[in-house]
Amino acid sequence: MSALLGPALTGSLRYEALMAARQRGLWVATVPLVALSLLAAVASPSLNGLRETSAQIGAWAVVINLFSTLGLAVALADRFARARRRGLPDLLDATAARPAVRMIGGLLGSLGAALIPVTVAMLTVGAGFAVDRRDPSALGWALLALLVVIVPAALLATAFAATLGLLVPVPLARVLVVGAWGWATVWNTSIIPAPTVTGTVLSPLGDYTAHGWLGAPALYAGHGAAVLSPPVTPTSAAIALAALLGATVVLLVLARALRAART
Amino acid sequence: MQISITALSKTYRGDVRALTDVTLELAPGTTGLLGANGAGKTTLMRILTGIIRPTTGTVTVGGHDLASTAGRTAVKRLLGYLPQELDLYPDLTGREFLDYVALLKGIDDKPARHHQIDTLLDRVALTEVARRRVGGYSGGMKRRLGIAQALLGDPRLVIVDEPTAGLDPEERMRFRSLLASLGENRTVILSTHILDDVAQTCPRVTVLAAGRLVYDGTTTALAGQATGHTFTVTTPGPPPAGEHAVVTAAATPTGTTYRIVTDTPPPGATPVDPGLEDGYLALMRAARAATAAESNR
Repeated sequence: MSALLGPALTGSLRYEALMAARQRGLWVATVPLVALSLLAAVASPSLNGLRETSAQIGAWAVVINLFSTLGLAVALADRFARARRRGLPDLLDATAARPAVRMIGGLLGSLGAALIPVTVAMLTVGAGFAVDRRDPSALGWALLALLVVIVPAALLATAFAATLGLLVPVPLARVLVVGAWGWATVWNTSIIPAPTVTGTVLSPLGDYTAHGWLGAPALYAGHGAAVLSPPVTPTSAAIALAALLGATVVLLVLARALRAART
Repeated sequence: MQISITALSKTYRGDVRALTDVTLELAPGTTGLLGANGAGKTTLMRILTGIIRPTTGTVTVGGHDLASTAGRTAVKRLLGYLPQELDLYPDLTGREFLDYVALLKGIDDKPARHHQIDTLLDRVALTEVARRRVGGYSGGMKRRLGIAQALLGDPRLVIVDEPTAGLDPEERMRFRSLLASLGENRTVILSTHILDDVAQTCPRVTVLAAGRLVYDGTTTALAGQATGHTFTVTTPGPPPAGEHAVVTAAATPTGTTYRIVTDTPPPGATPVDPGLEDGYLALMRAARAATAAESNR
């Protein structure tokens, strides 16, 4: 692996994943929420009975994303801050590994570990529908839904939480992440009339991609602020995905600048 | 590896001057870096490791100019660094931590990496606990692991900041012999408050005071700074009156014997041969006097 990615990225990915996996808090925060999301998806009448397998799995993916991604973002809010342990920044900065590579490797490695329960859940959902509907493509749809609905949202939410953890104490960052996640995914302006990205291409809920590419029913997509909330089409789904990835990159650049400023 | 430092100054935000106009040549071998807290030792080491940049002045390490990104990267490839305080990842085992740092240092070849790790674990006597998580290590074991990571990649330049802090006497002696062996074929900079460590391992010593270079020469010559100024005097209890620095005090059947460094020995004082502690104290007294005279001007 190191020949392909370079030793620094390999090391960061491998050992940050290992350290995240060994944190009990990660499993405490994610496994119950994954279980809760599966229960919610099973129990919801509006999410079941869809004719198309892809739509059915897309709808489940949005619900799993809504609950599970919040859990892993809360758990991983300490990822950048923990690298500030006494002496460690100097030790790591004195190696030839580029800080940006270490940061990206650290985020992706931790996230890789955190996504294990979600991945297992999605593959189980896919396998369940494959058996129930005698449609092996369900496994492929589940994998696609994981990649276009959950992973981009998890990347953005984790980058946001970890960057916030550099600005405020980690416990406070965890609380703020819960609020920010609700504001960005399920904020209802008819109840609380305040600006929100819910329903726009900037929302990490994933219903633009779930609806635009998998045919799932849209929950909020297309009902947000006008300019940022185009009708749901495969193109606007691609824009939403690009927006999430772009926002993640912006947060990583900000986190890198924050770290550099404190050296 | 030759290190050349010319007119180096570092000022932090808030106009805090950490180093002022330091010019210094460091040759291969082990050099002790001494100075009081806040003298600028850690700042100098962080500049040499490429972690921070100087405000003014130039630094070249092995011909690489630290002003350029390429120069800093080149130096980092040749470097082993142990920071003063090191709070290691508690969730990794000692072996895993070394493997992680080895990968960050670019040691790509797996068998070579594992061989190095095994050798270093043995060298710092951590083989038996290598598979235990670092969170369960004692302070001394963590320090030894820190020393091991600094030696990964067989660095040509080793910079260690207070490496023996927290080590028990046996561990410290082992570390001293390790450090002495390192200096044979590379450049080692040892920053410490423990003068005994310097006396045992460093043929040369550099002393900083208030961010300025006040001494650069042999360890023997530093001891010689107190020649003619070191005395012992025995009193019934309290130290003798006068302008002096007490190096040691030892209770004896006839009272307390004080070893002092002074320009004006008290009555009954006996001159003695100076050691490194005496020389260091004499130098610091002279530096403080010079600073006071300068500020009075």
